[in-house]
Amino acid sequence: MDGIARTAVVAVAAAVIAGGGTAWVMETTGRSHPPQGGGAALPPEGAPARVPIGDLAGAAQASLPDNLPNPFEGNAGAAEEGHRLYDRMNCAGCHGYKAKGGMGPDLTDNHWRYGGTPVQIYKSIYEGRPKGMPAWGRALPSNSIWQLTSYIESLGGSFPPAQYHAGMQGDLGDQGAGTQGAGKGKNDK
Amino acid sequence: MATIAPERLPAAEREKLTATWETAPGLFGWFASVDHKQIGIRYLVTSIVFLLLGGVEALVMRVQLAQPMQRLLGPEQYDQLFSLHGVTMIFLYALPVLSGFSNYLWPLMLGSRDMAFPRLNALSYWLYLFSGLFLYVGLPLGQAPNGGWFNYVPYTNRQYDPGMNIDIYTLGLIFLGISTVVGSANFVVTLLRTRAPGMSINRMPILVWGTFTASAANLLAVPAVSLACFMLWLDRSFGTHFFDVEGHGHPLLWQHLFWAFGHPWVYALVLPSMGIVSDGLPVFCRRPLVGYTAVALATVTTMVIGFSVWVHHMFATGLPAMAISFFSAASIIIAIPSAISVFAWIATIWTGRPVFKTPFLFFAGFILLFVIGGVSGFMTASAAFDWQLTDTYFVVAHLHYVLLGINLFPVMGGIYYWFPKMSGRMMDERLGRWSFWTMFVGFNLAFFPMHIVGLEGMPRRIYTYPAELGVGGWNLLITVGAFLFAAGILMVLVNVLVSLSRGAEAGPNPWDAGTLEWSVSSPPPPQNFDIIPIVASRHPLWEDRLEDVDERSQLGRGYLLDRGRETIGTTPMDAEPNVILRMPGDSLLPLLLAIAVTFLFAGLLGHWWIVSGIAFAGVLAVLIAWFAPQPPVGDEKARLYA
Amino acid sequence: MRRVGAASLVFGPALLAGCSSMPLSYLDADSPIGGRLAQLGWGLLGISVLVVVIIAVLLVGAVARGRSSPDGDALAVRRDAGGMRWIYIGVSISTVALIASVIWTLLTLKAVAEPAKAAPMTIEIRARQWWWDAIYRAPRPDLQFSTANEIHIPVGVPVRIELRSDDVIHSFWVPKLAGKTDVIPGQANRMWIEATKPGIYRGQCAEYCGVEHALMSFRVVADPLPEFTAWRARQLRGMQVRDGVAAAGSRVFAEHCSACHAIHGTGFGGAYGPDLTNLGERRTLAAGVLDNNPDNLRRWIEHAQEVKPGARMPDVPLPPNEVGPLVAYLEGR
Repeated sequence: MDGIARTAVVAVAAAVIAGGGTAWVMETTGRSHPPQGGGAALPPEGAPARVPIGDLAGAAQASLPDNLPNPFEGNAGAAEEGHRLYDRMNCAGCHGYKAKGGMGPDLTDNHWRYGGTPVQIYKSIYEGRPKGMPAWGRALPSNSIWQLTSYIESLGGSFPPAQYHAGMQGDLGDQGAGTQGAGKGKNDK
Repeated sequence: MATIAPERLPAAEREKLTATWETAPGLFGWFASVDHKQIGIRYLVTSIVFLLLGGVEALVMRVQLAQPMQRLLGPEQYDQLFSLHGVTMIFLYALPVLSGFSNYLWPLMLGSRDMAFPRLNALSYWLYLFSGLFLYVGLPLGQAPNGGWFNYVPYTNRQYDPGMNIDIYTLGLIFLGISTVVGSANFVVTLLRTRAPGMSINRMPILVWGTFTASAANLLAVPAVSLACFMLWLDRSFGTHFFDVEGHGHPLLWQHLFWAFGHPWVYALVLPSMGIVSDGLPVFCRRPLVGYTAVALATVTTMVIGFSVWVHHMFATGLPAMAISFFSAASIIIAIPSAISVFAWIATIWTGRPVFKTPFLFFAGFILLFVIGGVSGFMTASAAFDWQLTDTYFVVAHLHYVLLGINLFPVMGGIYYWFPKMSGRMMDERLGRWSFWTMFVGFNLAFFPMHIVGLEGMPRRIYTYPAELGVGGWNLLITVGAFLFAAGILMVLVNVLVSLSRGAEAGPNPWDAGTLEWSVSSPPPPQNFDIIPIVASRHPLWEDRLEDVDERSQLGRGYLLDRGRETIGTTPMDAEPNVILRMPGDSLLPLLLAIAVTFLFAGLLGHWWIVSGIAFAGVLAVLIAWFAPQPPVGDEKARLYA
Repeated sequence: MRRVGAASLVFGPALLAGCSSMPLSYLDADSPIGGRLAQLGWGLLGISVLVVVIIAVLLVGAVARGRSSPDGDALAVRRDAGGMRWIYIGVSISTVALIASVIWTLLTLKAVAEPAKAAPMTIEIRARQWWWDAIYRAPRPDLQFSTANEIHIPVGVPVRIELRSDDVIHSFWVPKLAGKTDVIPGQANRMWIEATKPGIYRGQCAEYCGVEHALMSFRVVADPLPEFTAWRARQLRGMQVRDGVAAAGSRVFAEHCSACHAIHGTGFGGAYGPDLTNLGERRTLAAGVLDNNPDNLRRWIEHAQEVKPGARMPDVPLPPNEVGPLVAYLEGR
């Protein structure tokens, strides 16, 4: 190779290496390990609480972050950790080991009585729900509940944060799909 | 200094040969070259680049470990660095650099015009380059492999390590394995069939023995790791249960498959470089190697026993006592063939007359490092004491003494030794001596204390350690030594770069060595040999000065083979000529095939099956073109030029 | 050059001899297994040092003796022969030493395989990312208890250890008492340990198991038998709910911690994290990372991710009027 070509190749290689190294440092700093998603900033401690359940009067006027995203979005490790918590906290006892339901509802379909967006799932776990869902909000730290939410989202039946209304069928959802607030869950094509 | 007149042919004949064998100029030639010398140099340059990358990774880790409880690096960062450091050095530097030397030197040492399969040679390089890039593709995304170079399951199952890191590792190793297997097959056939007439199997340089043994071993060992990686990739991508405990898979299966590959592999990393020393040291002792036959046999014996020691990486896993006893005994006994080589080298120096040039310093210093690495290996081979030593810094010390001492130091010596042949210039001798001493002192300063901290209980693969372990002081010294060692390596590279343009001119045989590569010009012409020599001893260029051979090698009379690209094929043991081999010229097919394979693996990585499918079709198309039948050739009678 | 190598080889052992206070060193072990392994180790080390010194001397000698004189074409020898005696002698001596080492190794393996007298006690150790669960099994369930990261054994009694993993491969290593044994999910590895002197023996996970492998250590506390029996009784008794500040603390624990942690003697039965019974008696926290005192415990509860980034213990932000009582309760005050 002649001199100019050689210099060009060396320059390109050096640029690629320097750029790659810098990118690596930026990507990995502040991230301890996927399961904890240490770099993800959790929403402030009261934010999910202010998201209303259901079509309460006045909810439409609320300027609340009802499309609060899961801070662990895209974090495969958080879903794995959520799976571990799901087994250890005995969610499987009511919802089944594959979350297909038992005493409690199926978590893999796109029917969500109290809403299927991440923040709605979070609230359901945190606050508990009628007919037997315990309130985990004080027993588990917020971090762990978001991890559980990640796991449930990974099962495919949840709704994206933007589809807050579409994701909530309420009790009327029992009467068949598509009538009330029919939206597309992650499983639908 | 005996001079050999390089021009034995009239100019017109020589020009015809050169024109036949020359690579086409320009970009096409650069991409399509199948010249083993160019491919050898590419291997060397690329592997040195990976050496530097791996070295930077190591230096960053050493800064983190210089004092206890530092927070320069987070644990995930450190884990990616130590994993990538191991993968880079062991897979992307240590074997390819030896492939580089072997590729460049074998035909010149064996009296041949090229390797047996020139296009396959080019393919193995392109596959190596692309698989190396593939293994690094996750780095900018913060997804470099992070399970260690050994990648134990279940930690690297999807459940505990869900990112892309390990998929890159598994697919990348399978990808690299293709390059290794292809290259190994090429070496084996080259050795058995393309030596110069008269170069019987006991007249070959020890480097050739070393690479041959390593290549034969790789053909048997690489499939084990490719299989293990494939199985892990299936587990991670499709939920199979090879290694997943809940699905009745077994973690130890990975370890057996990996180490059944891994142990023969590390011998493949050191036997060729021991061959470099066995060939180079005698030149600087002004006598042939003591015990050639013993050393050649020791090389093969080490490799054979090396297939039956892999469990010594698993002494602590709870295997039955009978198994552990057998593997411990085998691991201790494997030191015997190594002892043969060590005493052969010392005897060569003792009974010879040392010439204190830079290559000699590297080759002699290597002997001490070899022995230190060997005895620390002997200590870990004892299963009972290994239960304390394994997974501590003692093993880190051992592996660096054997890998750097037995691979890197001879490689550096080999660079000083063969640089004149490759470039036609000498490297600077004074800078060479400085670079050796800097490397030697820095290396021992960095790695010797690791024995001590290992005996004090410092475990390995840790991103930090508490102050109460009492190893902070040694670690600081180790870090300082590491930087000094790195400086020494840089000095060698600076020497190379400066000497390329300003080195003193070198003739065909500046060291007055005895083997065939020193009988051609520096750098060699594209056809290597104008006339294929007929060989009568191990040291064709020293025959006049040694009394035990009556015959003389014929360097000025032999086969001309100038009707197109041709070389002679000979029988495996005694090298009697029996066929003329037609060699392919420049071809883009190796590059195209490597590109297709890259897309295939990229598709598998991202689960883009369509891409992989199209790439696979591309692979088949290239292979069809590759094997397309050539027009039949009439019988030719080889002309002897006398 | 070789002087550097040789010198450090002479100094090395000397330095080592003064290093017996290193918590993880094992050449100075004097337990039944540890001592036997240390003997073997010193022997192998001695042979190794001797070999290196001999080779170094031969190498220096070989180099020093043949000064090259530039005298034209002649090689150093006329025949490609001679020097074989070096190989014969060198390899013969090496072979004898190697075979002797094989035999010594096999004898040591046999000697440490089983304790001199049968082990009356078994502790099941479950290694988890990144802490150690120790379950003291007993014939009756009400005599069974768990503890974490600090394992008590009686002095002079061999103890069988049964190793299981719930997740990935770990390795149980307490250097002064025994060699390491890997903890492999899907199988139960067994080993035994015995301490002949009371003391605190530091242990460490010795197989890369994830981000916090570096900080996964533990302690084996060898107590004379009466103290061990008293400790065991205290573990079985557990911690009752207390009055006053500690009662408030136990309420905080019930709300925020009991989903994952258990305490013997109370109704708290979380199975995700370590058993915290009598936490105040333990010498360290977080698998040997922090010394156990109220400040460190508070720091661990509120900022676990800072101390051990990636650990499964999350940061638990609590208001100050809850953290204080919680720490008091856990520390047993």
